[in-house]
Amino acid sequence: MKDFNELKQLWHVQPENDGVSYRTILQTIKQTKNKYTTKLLSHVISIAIIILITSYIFITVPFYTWTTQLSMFIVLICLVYYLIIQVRDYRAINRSENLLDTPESYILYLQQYKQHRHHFNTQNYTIYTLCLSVALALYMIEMSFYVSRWVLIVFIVAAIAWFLLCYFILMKVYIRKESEKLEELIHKLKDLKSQFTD
Amino acid sequence: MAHKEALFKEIFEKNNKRVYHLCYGYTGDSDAADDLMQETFIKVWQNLDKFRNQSQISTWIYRIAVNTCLSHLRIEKRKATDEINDNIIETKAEETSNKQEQVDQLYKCIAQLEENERIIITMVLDEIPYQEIAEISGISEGNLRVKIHRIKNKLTEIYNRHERF
Repeated sequence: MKDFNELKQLWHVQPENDGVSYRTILQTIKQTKNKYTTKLLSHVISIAIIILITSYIFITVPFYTWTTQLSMFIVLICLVYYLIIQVRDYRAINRSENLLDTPESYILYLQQYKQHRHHFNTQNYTIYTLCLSVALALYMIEMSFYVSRWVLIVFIVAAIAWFLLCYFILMKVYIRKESEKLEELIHKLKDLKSQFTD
Repeated sequence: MAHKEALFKEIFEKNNKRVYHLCYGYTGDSDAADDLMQETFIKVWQNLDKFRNQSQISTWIYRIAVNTCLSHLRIEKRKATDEINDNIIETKAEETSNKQEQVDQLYKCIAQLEENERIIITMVLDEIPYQEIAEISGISEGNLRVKIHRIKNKLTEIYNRHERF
């Protein structure tokens, strides 16, 4: 049988932790910063290249119908939007004022942040799928001038099947999984918050 | 930059032991504790310019450490880790000294407490003044004293129950 003071004595005999030194941390800081910058830069460059190519085709290639140009315009907007989100996310990662809040306020911030991200991700996924489907449908009008009727039918059936698969299976599964994860996190955060309520 | 690095080194050397204890007490896993400690000090480095002496630097670092631990929300992994930890501790116990075995046992018992209890008790064991613990955890000092009394009894009871087997 031990009392609390004996546990305290025991606590003070534990060996020093040599796992992490301040040099390792400084090295990690530099590497992490470089890693994020490189990742962001590669994203920006690759999206910028795709935007340039799409814009070039958009301007130079003479299309039969305006619907193809509208289709390309939708894809361009999606790409620019993705680029903006990447830059915004990168900035958000480096923002950390909330870290200095009391645990109760910090947990509330985490709760709101997780809910916001969930809403944002699921909503974005829906919009992204819809935009791509609309763009594809518009492009098919142009296709009807080049390909035979049978090829066009096969293409339309495949596109509809892809759209249905995205909307009724992939999107629903993704949103359900994300919602379950969020529910679990929110439950855990509520439990934590109640522990820190004075 | 050199001045910031020197200051960081000083802060790290003064506080790393206690921050590690807090992270280990919270996660019950030494590898996860290493990761959380590293994450805490990275945030300390990133926010060093924001520290304006409104409180002690140790209080400020602890606040960052506590919030970093709280954001460690890998629920499913956590459950799996707890089970693995039990096995690791049992296997390792045969090889390590009796004292080390008791320390491992103590961490295992802390891991059975509620999250805020783990945070508070590791600070009590590290002899942080009650006023500072109250400031870090955002709980009033009066309420904290009651909590600490209850947690001490709970931990002692859990430890003695394990020791009997």
